[in-house]
Amino acid sequence: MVELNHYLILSALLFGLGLIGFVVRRNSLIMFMSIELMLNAANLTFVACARHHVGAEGSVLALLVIAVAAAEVAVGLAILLALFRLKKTVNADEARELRA
Amino acid sequence: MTFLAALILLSPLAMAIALGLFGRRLPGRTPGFLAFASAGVSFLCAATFCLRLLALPASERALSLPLYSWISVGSLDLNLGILVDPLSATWATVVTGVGSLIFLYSISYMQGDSGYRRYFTYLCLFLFSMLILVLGENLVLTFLGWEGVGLCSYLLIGFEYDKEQAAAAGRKAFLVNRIGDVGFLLGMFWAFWSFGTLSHETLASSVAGQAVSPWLALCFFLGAVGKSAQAPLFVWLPDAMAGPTPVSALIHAATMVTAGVYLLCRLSLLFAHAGWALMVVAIVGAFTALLAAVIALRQYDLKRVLAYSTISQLGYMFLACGVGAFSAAAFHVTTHAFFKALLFLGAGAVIHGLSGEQDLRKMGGLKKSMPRTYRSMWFGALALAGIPPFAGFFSKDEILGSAFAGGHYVLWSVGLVTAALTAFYTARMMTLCFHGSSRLAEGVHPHEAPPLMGVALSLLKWLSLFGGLALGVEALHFRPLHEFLRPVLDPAAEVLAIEHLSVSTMVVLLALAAALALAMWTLAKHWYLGDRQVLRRWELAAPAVARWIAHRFYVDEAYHAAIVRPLGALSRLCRNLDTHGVDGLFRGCARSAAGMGSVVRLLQTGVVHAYALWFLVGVVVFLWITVG
Repeated sequence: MVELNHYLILSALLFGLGLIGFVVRRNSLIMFMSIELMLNAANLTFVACARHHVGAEGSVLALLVIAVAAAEVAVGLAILLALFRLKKTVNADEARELRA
Repeated sequence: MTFLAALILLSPLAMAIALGLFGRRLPGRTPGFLAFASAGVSFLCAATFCLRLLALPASERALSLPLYSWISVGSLDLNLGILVDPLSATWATVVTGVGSLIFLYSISYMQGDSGYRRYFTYLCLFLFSMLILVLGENLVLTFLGWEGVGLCSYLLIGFEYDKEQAAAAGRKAFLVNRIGDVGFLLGMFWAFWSFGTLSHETLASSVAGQAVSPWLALCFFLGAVGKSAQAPLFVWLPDAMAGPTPVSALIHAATMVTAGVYLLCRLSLLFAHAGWALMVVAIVGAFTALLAAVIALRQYDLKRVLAYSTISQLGYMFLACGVGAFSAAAFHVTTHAFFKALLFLGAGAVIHGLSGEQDLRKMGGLKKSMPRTYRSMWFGALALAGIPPFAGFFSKDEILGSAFAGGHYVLWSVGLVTAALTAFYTARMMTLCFHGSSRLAEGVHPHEAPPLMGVALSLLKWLSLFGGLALGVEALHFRPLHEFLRPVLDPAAEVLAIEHLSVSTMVVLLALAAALALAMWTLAKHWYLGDRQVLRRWELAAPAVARWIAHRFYVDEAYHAAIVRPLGALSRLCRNLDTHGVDGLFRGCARSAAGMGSVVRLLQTGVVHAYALWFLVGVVVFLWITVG
């Protein structure tokens, strides 16, 4: 029997993976994917909890997150493209013009 | 009628505006001739008014011509109006008459000056202000003119503003006059508070028969002391000689400085009811007359000698007011305007002829090279010294006679000593300047004044000779000026119950004064023409006295130490408090904010990962606090 705790542990593992990937990797595309991973880990938690409590709120929130993530992808990829055109690289450390 | 009266004022005002704003393109001496024309128009109107007043019966000789209601608040109701009565008409005629001659003289004197147009603009503005002062129908208008002439005096003393000395003299005159103006303002407030009116006519009628606080009168007197350079506020007048010489003649001898005497005459009824205030006026006047005459004995600057003699003569006028002889004061103002303007214009011709030399020690023997100026100056000098039958003799001795008649024997003897000193320093000045051997510096070639200057000089010359005879000889009971002024000045004389001398006493006093003046004149001429052994012996006998006189009794130095220096120290302290204290506080605030910013700025590295890490740390801390 798969219990709620198993889902939550998996979700925490996925979130940690995404977090570490975002902080450690320098390639903006990978960082971007890490963000998606964290979002989906959150989604997994929402859905699991919805199933456990037999309610619709969690599922609705998950749908909302997916919609926001889609929009975020559109904007994020556009920024990435612009960055690549400017710098000929997607390495995030190369773009530090906002340094004080 | 109203138009004619307004024209007296508007003619110089319009010319001042026209010259000041639009006169830039006028060629050569045109501004001078235009200004002279405006002063001439003013004079003709004023003289017409004098004649019209003479045609009226004595009791109706006061025309109040309101132009429009100026300020009307609560019980205060001020008209912008002109009051033409014998007093203001006399003053206006003297001011515009002597003024016109000085304008005429200036056309030539100022020729070639880069500020030619500016000079005549100021001069017209001065004439306008002076006429407002004299013709204004209430105290506020008089004060307006009072401030106006003060401003023009400042502008004209500092006319050559690129000279440090002239600029400083202008500032000094302005500041010292402010002290007097405070008195005038306080007096005005007080007068309104006690009588509810500021109009000259209603003020005179509401004062009648009432006891007035002497301090109220002294407030106005303080104003007069400042404007007329009496002790202790006389220090500005000698310095005012830094202005062009015609300005000294017009403003600092003939007209503006007599504004204080005008105020005393205008408020004569108020002063007559003010108890011991008139005694203060008389004492201050006599003291100033003596002090200035003593100082004039040892001055070597030609214009400064004349400046101190002006202060001394103004002291006589105050003495006259103080003993209740207001019409004698007005008489002396008139004759003094003639001969002092003449002396200053003559001095201007000398300075002009010597290319700017003013030191009496570097003159001498000028009568051969400047015969016309020499003759004119003699008329003025004899009038100043009080030698009969010149103008000054009659007016000055009428003042002395009034002091004697009132029983003020101390004041009378001070006046007599001053008269003797006056004759002495005048003769000294003339001798050093025109007689003896030439002590001119190398390369100075004296030349006679140009014709326009000569015209003004010779007209004033005849006025100085006949002005006294024509306007009043007391001993003969021939006093047209006094009769003319009666409606204005008699009420005060009645209140004070002025005594009159018998003709025989008067003749004795006149003979005494004339003999004394002649003796001192001869003495001075003799001493200064010779090898001056006598003088040197005098100086060796009392070196301290000689030094004190030469240094003008250290009055300027005393003021410098007692007022100027502490004020300077105080203002430096305030400046330091401001730049270091107040400014430092604000600069410190700004700097600490900037400092904090520069520390926090280090966090903004521009590296996305660093931000993410900080974000993570933040979340962990937040969770730890809320959950943990």
